[in-house]
Amino acid sequence: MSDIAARAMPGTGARLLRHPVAVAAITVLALLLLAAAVGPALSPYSYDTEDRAAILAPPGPRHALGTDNHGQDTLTRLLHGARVSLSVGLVVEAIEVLIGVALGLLAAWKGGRLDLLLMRITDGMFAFPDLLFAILLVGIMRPTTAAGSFLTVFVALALVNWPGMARLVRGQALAVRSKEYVEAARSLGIPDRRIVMRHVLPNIVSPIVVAATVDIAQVILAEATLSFLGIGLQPPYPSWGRMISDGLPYLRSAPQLIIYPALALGTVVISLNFLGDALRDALDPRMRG
Amino acid sequence: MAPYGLKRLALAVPTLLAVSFVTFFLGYLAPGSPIDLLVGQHADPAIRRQLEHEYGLDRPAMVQYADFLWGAVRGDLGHSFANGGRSVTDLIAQQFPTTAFLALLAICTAALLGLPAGVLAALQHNRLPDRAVMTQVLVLVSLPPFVLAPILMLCFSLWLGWLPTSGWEGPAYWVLPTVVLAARPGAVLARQMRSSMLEVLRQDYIRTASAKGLTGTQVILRHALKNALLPVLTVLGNSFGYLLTGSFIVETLFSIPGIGYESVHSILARDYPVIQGVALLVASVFVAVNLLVDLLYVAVDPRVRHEAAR
Repeated sequence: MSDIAARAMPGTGARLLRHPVAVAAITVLALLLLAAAVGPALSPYSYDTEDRAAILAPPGPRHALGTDNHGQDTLTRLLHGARVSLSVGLVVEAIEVLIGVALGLLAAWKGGRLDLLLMRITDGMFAFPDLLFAILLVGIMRPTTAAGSFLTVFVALALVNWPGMARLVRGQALAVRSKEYVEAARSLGIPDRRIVMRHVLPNIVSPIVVAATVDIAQVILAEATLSFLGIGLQPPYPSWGRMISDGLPYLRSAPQLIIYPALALGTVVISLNFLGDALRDALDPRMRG
Repeated sequence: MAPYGLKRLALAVPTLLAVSFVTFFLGYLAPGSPIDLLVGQHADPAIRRQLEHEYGLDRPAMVQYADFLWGAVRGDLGHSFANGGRSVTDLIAQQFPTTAFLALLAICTAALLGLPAGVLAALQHNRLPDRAVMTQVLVLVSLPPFVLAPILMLCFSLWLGWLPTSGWEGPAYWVLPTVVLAARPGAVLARQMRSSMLEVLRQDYIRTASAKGLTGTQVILRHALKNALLPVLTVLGNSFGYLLTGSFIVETLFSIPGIGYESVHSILARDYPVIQGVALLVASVFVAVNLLVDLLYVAVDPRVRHEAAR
């Protein structure tokens, strides 16, 4: 994939690096990834260590960002929450891209009944608000174990999100399909598989990358929403959405309980959205509005 | 127009059928029996069988589904497992007006702020106002209601003391929930308005209008705006989906006695009849709004009207 991407987008990296907003967004996201990867190991606390001597402690030397109503260290929980958000975002998006690209290409290339079926299914999914569908799925299947809740969230979000990607890929592939170079490749007798992989896919990578970047933000928000409602990731494992809802009763006495996870979530999503925007500019200079 | 409307209406039926099918079977296949909610997991098996029979839960799945569907058509959505066994239709009838009112307030606010912002951004393309609006749009799209609401509550309720934090007792209580719910649709509308306005401003007829000596304001109001508003209609229709889902979160945050608040409680309590009823209602509203938008499109745009007549 990276090989295809590199050939499809010469000079993209350089263009992206000239974009100050993109550089800022990439830096923030890289730091967050690093924090999520090594942060929890550096913390003296575990996400469920309860410090009975410090219930609802304000930020201080022992607990850099304070503690919650169980005396759990907020910074440690934020770092674990970053793992949740980022892994849900990346894994769900990867599944979505795999399904979306495969089905979208197949539908565009084969056409006929398969295409019709895909369009009907996606039409049906579009006729129902995405997040609500995810809420219903997770809410009804609500597992009781932490691992089960993780899996349910992944499955529900991937299930709800793939149709958008499939539609995008199909539309783009259909547009490329009628181009002269594809026609030329066909008349040379190059097998379909090779045409799709070497001539079609590289030419539609840009919109896929842009859509996927912005989609990751949506997936992260969706997970936070599910967890906020109490049907996402089950405690004691922390999720930013859950931390916000747990902090609500203490809005007056300990607003930091909400402010930190809210800031974290806002920062990630804003960074991804700005990056998506910058990528759109860098990948397709003609699209510059 | 009429045949097109009927055709679109007919297309909505399979969608609603699919939604009812999925919501029913999700509830049917879900782990845990609803009987557990009534009598607990360790009740006498004889009593359980008795109750299962009373609620019709011992019948084949397809029979139960047909029953559910036939009831839904007649406006009977069954009885809640909680709430003292109240009828789901009753529950919805009591709470839906609040949610609808909040959604209406939010969509009006979103349109009143988002559309002018989008037009301004398009007219000042690539200049400071444009960049300011577009940055604002990205930020608002990125902040979910449960991030925005606590921040606003802190500022306007706890620190400044201007507005109440929660409840639903009068106009002062409406402000924060409306703003929180309107933020995302407002931003999305602004973005769509901007890009569709930019598209229209490039058209030949705009150049013609300017060339024949109309003033800038006349060109924008009479020629550009009217045409640019059309694609925005679709986005407006789609926003309803967000408003309905958003109401789940906003009503929970502000303790507003609407359908969203009720749904979240029902989901946590596994009160399937209520969940199914709400899902069906939300899907119907969403389908109806999008149908309305499509018909409006046909009514307003002669190009689409000819397409639809064929």
